[in-house]
This record gives sequence, C-alpha cells and structure tokens, in this order.
Amino acid sequence: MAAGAKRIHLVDLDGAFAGKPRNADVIHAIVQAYPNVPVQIGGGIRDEETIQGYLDAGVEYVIIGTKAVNAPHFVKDMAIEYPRRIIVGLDAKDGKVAIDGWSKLSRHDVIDMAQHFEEDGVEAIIYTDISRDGMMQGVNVEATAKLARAIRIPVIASGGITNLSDIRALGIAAGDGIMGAITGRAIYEGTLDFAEGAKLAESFAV
Amino acid sequence: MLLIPAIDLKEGKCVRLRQGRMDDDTVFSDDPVAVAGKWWLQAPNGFI
Repeated sequence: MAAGAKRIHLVDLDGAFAGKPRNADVIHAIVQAYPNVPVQIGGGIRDEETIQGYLDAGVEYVIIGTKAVNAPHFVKDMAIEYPRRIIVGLDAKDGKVAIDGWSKLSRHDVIDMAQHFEEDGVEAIIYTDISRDGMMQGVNVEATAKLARAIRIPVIASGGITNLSDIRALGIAAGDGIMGAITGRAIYEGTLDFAEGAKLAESFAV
Repeated sequence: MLLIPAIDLKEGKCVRLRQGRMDDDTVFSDDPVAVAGKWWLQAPNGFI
C-alpha cells in the first residue's frame, strides 16, 4: 500500500461554529504523535493563515466548507497556492448546499458548486448528506454517486455509514468516483468494526 | 475505496453530534490522540 493511501478525518467542531480554529493544539498533537498518518482537517478554516498553519504543522489536506460557499474565489486562490492540499466539503440536503454548521440551506445546487470547484483545481469533494449524518440511517448512495459521476475529481462520502451493508452499498458505486467514506458514530458505538469495514471498503476499486 | 475514521473535536474531546447540533453531542473519549492511534493501528497496513 502506497504512502498516503490511508487517512484520518479530523473536525474542529468549535472551530466550525466560531469561524476560526478552536482545537488546534489537539490537532497538532495528533499530527506530531503520528507523523506517518495523513490527516485531513475541517472546521473553522476560513483564511490563508489557518491553512498555512495546519500544513506547516504536518496536516496533509485542509477542508474548506462554509467559506467555499460564501467566497468561492478563496478556494481558487488557495488551490493555486497549495496544489493538491485543498479539499472542499459540501454539506447538502435535497441537492442544495447547507452552510454555517447546517443551520441554513442555500439556494446553490451541490453539483453546480462541485463542478465549479473542480475547475478551480481542488483535490476532492467531501459530500455530506445532512439528512443522514449521525442518524444511523444508511448512506444516500444515489445522491453521492450522482455527484461523483458529474465531476472527475474524487468524492468522499460522509454521513450514514452504519454497518458493513452501507459500505457494500456505497462500494458498488465506487467506480463512479467515490474514493472514500468517512465513518464516525458507527465505529464509536460499535455497529461497525473499523478494521473489518476498512478491509471491505478496500475491496472496491475506485 | 477507503474507509476514513472521523474524529470530531469539541472542547478538546472526541465527540459525535446528532444532525450537526452542538447541544446534542456524545463524548466518546477525552484523549483524541489515543483515538487517532487506535484507528490507525486498526487500518489495513496501518504502518507505512
């Protein structure tokens, strides 16, 4: 397995709500403790200083979320400045992008926005279906695959991975361009064994 | 396809939210660094 093929997804929740880093010390501690672990970080990333700070600390990818929707040119500037290191996270419900910690639905179509960011040179899109995340209701495979087919950069699915069946369902669509699936609650509550799930996921070619 | 473990941080702790609501969180660990190490060790070919 090539270096960089695995990764861990970190979210600074306080940062997402504050609009600036709030758990940077913990994040730095993680990248320092495991320098071989590729980390992607999201939450409160709204200026270049924050991006520079995380990349200098050893973070592999930074995820721009709300700011990408509110100020799309920022993504373009950062993708030029930090090639291959910028991921855009789009939270969506019924095809529309949500912002500000899911408290608002925008009028932006998620596929239109993703295509725009692809042109700007972002590395990947993290697609979170917010009607599913944290609710253990399964993955919105159809919406995720539809997005993946509409762009050439990889899609990382987030939200709704509850068990092995969900990984299998998403894995069948992996060939559409779904490079990964983020899992949270399921591995903490134990409905999904992470090692077993990771092995199954890797059996699906992207 | 990769399975990517998430570590959501709130006030230095590893938590999960329901439906993105900050007031509806479950704390899973006070030690996110240890949690990161645990998932990494369990990943196939975790040491690279």
